[in-house]
Amino acid sequence: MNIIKHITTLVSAGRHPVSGEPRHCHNDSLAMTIGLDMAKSISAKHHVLHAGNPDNKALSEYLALGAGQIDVIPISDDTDVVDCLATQLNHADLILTGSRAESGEDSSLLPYLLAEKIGIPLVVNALAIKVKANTIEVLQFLPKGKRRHVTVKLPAIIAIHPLAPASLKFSYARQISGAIKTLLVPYTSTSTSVHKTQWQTLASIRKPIKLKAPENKSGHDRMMSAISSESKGGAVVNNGNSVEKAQVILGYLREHRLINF
Amino acid sequence: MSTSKAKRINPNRILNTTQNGIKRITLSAPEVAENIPEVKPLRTPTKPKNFYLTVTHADRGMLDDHAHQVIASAAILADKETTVVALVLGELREDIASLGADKVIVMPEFDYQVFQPDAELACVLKVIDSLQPSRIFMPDNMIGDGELGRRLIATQPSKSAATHVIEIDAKHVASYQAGGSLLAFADLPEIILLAANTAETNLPFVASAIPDEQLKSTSYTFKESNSDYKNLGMLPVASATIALEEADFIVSAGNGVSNVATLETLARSLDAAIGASRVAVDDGKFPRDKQIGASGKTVSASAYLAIGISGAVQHLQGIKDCRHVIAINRDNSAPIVKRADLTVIGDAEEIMQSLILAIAEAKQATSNQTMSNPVN
Amino acid sequence: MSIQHLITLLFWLATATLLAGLWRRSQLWRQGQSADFSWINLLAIPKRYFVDLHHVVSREPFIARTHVATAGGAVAALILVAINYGLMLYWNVLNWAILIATAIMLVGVFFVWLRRRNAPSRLSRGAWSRLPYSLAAFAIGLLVLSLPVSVLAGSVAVLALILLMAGSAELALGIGLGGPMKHAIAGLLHLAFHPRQQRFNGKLSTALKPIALDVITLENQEFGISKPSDFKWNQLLGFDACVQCGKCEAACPAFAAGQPLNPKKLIQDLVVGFSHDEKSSHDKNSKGTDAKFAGSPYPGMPIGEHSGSIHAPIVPSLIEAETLWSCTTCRACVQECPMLIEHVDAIVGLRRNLTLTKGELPGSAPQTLENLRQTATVGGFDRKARYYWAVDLNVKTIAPNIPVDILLIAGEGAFDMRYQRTLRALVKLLKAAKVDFALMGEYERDTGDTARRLGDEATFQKLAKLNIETLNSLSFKRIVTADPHVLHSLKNEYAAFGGNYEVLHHSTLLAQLAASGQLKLGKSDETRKLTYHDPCYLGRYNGETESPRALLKSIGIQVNEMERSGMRGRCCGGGGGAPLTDIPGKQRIPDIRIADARTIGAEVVAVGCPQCTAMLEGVVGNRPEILDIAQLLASTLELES
Ligand SMILES: Cc1cc2nc3c(=O)[nH]c(=O)nc-3n(C[C@H](O)[C@H](O)[C@H](O)COP(=O)(O)OP(=O)(O)OC[C@H]3O[C@@H](n4cnc5c(N)ncnc54)[C@H](O)[C@@H]3O)c2cc1C
Ligand code: SF4
Ligand code: SF4
Repeated sequence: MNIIKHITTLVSAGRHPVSGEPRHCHNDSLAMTIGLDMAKSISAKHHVLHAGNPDNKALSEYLALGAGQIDVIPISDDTDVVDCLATQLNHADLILTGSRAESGEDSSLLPYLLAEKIGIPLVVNALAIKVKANTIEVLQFLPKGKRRHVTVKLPAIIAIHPLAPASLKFSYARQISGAIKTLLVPYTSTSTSVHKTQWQTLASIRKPIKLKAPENKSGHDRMMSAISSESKGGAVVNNGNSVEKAQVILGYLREHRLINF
Repeated sequence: MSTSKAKRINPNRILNTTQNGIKRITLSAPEVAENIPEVKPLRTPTKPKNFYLTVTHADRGMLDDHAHQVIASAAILADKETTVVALVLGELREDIASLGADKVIVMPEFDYQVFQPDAELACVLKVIDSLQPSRIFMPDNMIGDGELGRRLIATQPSKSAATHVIEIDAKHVASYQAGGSLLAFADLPEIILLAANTAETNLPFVASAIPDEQLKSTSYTFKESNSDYKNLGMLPVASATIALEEADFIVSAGNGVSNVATLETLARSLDAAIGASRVAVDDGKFPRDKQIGASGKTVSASAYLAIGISGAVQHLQGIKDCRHVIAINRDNSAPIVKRADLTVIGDAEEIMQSLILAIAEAKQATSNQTMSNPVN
Repeated sequence: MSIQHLITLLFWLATATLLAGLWRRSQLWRQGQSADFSWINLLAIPKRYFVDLHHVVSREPFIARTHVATAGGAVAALILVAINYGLMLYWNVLNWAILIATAIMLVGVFFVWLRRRNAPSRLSRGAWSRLPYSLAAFAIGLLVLSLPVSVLAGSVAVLALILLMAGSAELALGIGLGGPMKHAIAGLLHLAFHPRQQRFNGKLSTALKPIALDVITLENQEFGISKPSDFKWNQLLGFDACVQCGKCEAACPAFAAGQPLNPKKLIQDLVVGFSHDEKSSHDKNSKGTDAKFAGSPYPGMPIGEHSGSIHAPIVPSLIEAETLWSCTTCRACVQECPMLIEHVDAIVGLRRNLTLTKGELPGSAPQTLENLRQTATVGGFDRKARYYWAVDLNVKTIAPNIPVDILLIAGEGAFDMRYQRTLRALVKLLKAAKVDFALMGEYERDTGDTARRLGDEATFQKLAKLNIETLNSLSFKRIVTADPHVLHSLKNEYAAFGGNYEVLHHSTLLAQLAASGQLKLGKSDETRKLTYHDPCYLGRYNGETESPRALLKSIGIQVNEMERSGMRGRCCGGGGGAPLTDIPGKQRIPDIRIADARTIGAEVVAVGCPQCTAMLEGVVGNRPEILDIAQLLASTLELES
């Protein structure tokens, strides 16, 4: 028997990192596509939920990608998103999210905070999901091509991994025929339940500086390490026979710990 | 234990002769003539009442570079009074004293391949409860620590936290935000999930890395029957079948590779995935899904071995995210040379053959070594 | 009844059959969407036939003459029969005239037959193979019957009558039953009601037509063309005019590269689609199949596995999406088609449906469209970075308060290190000519050319409107660009949205400057053998084939022509988003073009387009060097100084 009646996908408003144009967040769209497909195959109802500004142009891209309708909880910037999403998720048997937003802090914390708040289990890095009795079977991503199967009891939150095999189809026809519905639940409380780290942003991007232990080096040592460490321009080896050249490659791989033998 | 002293490079002579008479070219860390192990001072926290906790998963007994960096950064940032406690989830067969861990708690039951987030979280909370660490450091990785760290953050609303930390020092952390378009700073928080390559692991001191058996014995309290999750196990995968987008090591063939079999052998011996330039694909040597570049795949391997690939812009577009590019090409004016971190000029087939032999030898040597000296 | 009366009967019978057939066929055409047309244009048919159509046919003189003899003889004979027998005059003089006309026709038919004996593969067989015989039957029958009655033996007359009946059946039933001879009627009507009337005013008509986007225009909520009935009725009529000569097939670069596209079969598939109707028939199998198609298949796709009908979606049951995505929109097919059929309009129409309604595109096309939507660049770049190559050149950037003569629009090529060399050369030339010009700078958004060819009319129109808004806020006299795709959109396609600009390709401007003496060029020291590759979007789309050649000549370079040049140039494979959809074939289109250059021993290929540069430079192995006209010209300035 199918115990999933409602699937809700949470979507965030993305923005293009270069142009700053509002756009769908790819990760969330993958989750939505997987949710829509699953809802169709088990005849459940699929909802798309966003907390934020209903006029954000990014939302219409989700319509183009098949959302049909997006329910928006209109909130201001200082409202706690987790709290207000939680109020709207009472009926959801399955909640899908992406794995990292591209607006705000992008901390990938939202699904965790939400799971904690609602008190339901969470599985992250999902590549594929399947309904099994009163659980969901998830195929999980692990690095280096590794995969794992796990099951989780419902209701649950599942965060989709960016490599999930779902192809996004952007359709202008769907974009203009879909609807954005503002939910009439003016949410007021500015919650303090979750600690907020105070971030200060720097508009210009620079390369991060590596943390190093302070060292008492001589000037000569410092100069030598400056010359030898991570020299940028590539080395070119012209001389030697092929055995020696193979050794150069092996040496390089070892030096950068790219191999472990 | 790292023993290298000041690095020296002779720009004119790249060939070195090692002790056993093999000619070897080492690029940025040539062996120094006097190879005496350097004795580093032992760091001993003066008043062991203040703790920094690191939590990292091990894989088959080893911590990866990323985990090393996390422990090292805790050790670098710890003041004289603070004890660095390394909680290692999964078996540990390596010595982490050189990374500055004063105490080590190993929980072998938490293999990263087994999904048991609630049990792991319970364990971490228990350790936190006993130690009351002032800061917790974890790698923001995909083998469970990034996830466990966030679960922890979610249960600790009163603690300040930062994820995807790409820069850390005694005062602050930094992280990319808004889709990577902003660099944001915050005061050093209590829970820190560090991205890879944020810290050097070469410390000027060592620590004692004493196993803390007492904490270990009290930390596993979880009852499995209560779990919402069930681990069904890993799916077997061979590295050759790994999607190129995920591969960490790619051996890639271009028009200059005449013998596909050699390349495949090389890839197998390096446990690498196979990629190809468009020309190699067009020639029918490789299927289309192996094509890397503008009209193929974009890859982000740590190591990309480009063999007989000229490095046309369309190809380079596909490897812009690769960390180490190594080229084998017979033409030293090919554009790939500019992109590569190391280029070896010569015939692809010959060098591949030699490399296959060299790798086999090296593997043999390593396995001999581990047999005679099982714990390193 | 005498033979004469029999002929009269036969004539009227045939005429009635023909008219009934025409009515029947026109019912099929009328299933299409309404289109602007004017009956008056029927009067223009003779001119259009003898001038515009003949202009295409005469490229192959043998066929032109054959057709003039056959069709001319037949039409003359038919008119004479209409007068003499239709009106029952039975004058002997007219019989002699008929005799002469049919004799001419017979000579033509003889050549048709000769040609069919070793026909090139582009010609269709099947029903078309019987044509020399049925036409001969008609001609011989009529010729014999128009001999003086005295010399006709009765049995001969009967035989002749049978032949005439057989031949007349081909002519009269063709239109109604969709036989080969339908091309005659459909072809003539197509000339009158052609969807691109400008073509008959001696002008190029290459701009795609906009579609409405604010409302869902068609009854089934689809954009673009989903099923045959979504075409305009005059497009359907146009498809019926196809004579399956395969000139389009022979010209098509995608076909040559072994990609699954054959423009001729595409047109025939559409004919199959609109001439079958599942609903109106009790027979379940009334979907038309492509099994009867007797020409070259789409490479790699066997014939007989696809079917369609008027109200059924075309993709994928009748035509596979890969077929549509293989097209480079080079217009070589359109250029070659003697029946003036518009293949590219059909292909883009079908793509619009796949893109706008279904959102299904292969390869990196979806990513490209996303980039265009989100960054207004093809590659997802920072718009500010587009003119980084010019930072050290000391050229001003246009702004609302800085009027200039010439606005230089660089296009997407500006992000590519290779094409930056061309652009720098161009700047050098403009400076040498002391032209008052400025760069577009951060204001520049992609023109949307690629989006439009990929069927994304929404993104194209959005970009077009934004660009027009920007351009209208700036003050310049003319636009110059080194990218023919930019040229085409701005010059030909923006007008529909209210953007009217004088846009020049850099070669056109430089040729003007050189001719007026404002630009003083030296002599080139290029001694290698050189050829010039015509970009489709410059040549066929904009008719500019002379300026590049004139410029090269003026610096002392002799241009050795490759096979297929000028208006009939062979595509590099770079247009229409084809490198993005990247449909596999047997070889690459640019390889074929470079082979053309190698054949004539060229060591340098001069180009005038960033796409052509990238495509041709992507060919590996020992190939000619690819240099832009601007680079070749600029190098003569260095020599001077
Ligand atoms: C629109 C477009 C999209 C494209 N997309 C892609 C894409 O996605 N991916 C891609 O790869 N290309 C792409 N290309 C093609 C690209 O431009 C190059 O043609 C292609 O990358 C070259 O492949 P290659 O380096 O294998 O071959 P070549 O350019 O022929 O280079 C072969 C190299 O091997 C070296 N070599 C030859 N023999 C030996 C030997 N015995 N030992 C050692 N070295 C040897 C040669 O010195 C040379 O440098 C695209 C091109 C276009 C126009
Ligand atoms: S479409 Fe035109 S060129 Fe192609 S076969 Fe038909 S008539 Fe000939
Ligand atoms: S436009 Fe060019 S590629 Fe497309 S069908 Fe016509 S000839 Fe072929």
